[in-house]
Amino acid sequence: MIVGVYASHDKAIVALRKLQESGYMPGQLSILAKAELVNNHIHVRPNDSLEKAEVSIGVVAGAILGVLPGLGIITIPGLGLLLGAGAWIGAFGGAYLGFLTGGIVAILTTAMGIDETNGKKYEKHLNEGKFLVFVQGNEDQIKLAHDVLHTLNLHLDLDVH
Amino acid sequence: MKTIAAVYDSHEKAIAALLELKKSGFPTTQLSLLGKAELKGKHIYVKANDTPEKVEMSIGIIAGTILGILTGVGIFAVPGVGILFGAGAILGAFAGLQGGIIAGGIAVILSTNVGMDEADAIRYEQHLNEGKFIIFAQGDEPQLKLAQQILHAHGLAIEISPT
Repeated sequence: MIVGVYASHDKAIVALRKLQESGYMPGQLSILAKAELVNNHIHVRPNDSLEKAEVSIGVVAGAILGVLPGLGIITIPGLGLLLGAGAWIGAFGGAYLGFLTGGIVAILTTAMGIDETNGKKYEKHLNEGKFLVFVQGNEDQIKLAHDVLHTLNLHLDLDVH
Repeated sequence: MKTIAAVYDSHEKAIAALLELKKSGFPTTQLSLLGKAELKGKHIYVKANDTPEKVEMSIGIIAGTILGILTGVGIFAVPGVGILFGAGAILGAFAGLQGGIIAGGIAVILSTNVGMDEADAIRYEQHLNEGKFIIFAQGDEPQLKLAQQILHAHGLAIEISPT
């Protein structure tokens, strides 16, 4: 699996589109980010703008649905709201049934098979308002995805697990 | 586990009903909400069925209200149906969407994954297409009887299915 860390939803979505153009299926791609509830309205806050302008979830969700067929927003005790789309939705189904209390690290380790050290690192990225893009596939697909994202060069961090 | 469904013509009424169930002690993990959303420009809205103006509401407000009661909200593009949003236990049923069930539309999901009668599922799909909102309550017989009583007494539903 590949995990790319991005500073804003724009960059993460560009990365997802690029992967889609390169032949990856929605079931292999996921995006994960933190959302916030401000005055009854859900926003995401990109990490890369000086003003940290809030973006309405409707805009983010619209952009995501252009690439992936579904997204979810779930309440995670101690973390707040988590926005996820793609293969992640499957993990959310499970999350609802019990992983939820374990927080995001438990979801990352149990549902996505990431080790605990990295799980904690990604949790920190999420808490800082960054966006995570996940690619799953066989060895060749992972290698190609890494090349695609590396060439695109919008990431803050790019890990192969 | 059985399922009952209650149909509402606006998001507010559906939320009020969910709150009523929660207040009466019905486990919120056994409740779900389903509605239709639309993509306009770059923004997702939910259309309410009951106002003459059909005022559009941003999905952010609706998701925010729902998350006050249930722990999760999902927004899904379903070919031939458009965009649906779902919340609660039903999100698990949508997990199968990624695998390909999505092509069969909402009626297939309701009959296959939620375990509803096919004729009912088709009717609920129609309700959703008309911009209505559906609450699903799952549980054993006594729980569902209680849920029906609560929802009947609350009185805002267009239709409440028998157990």
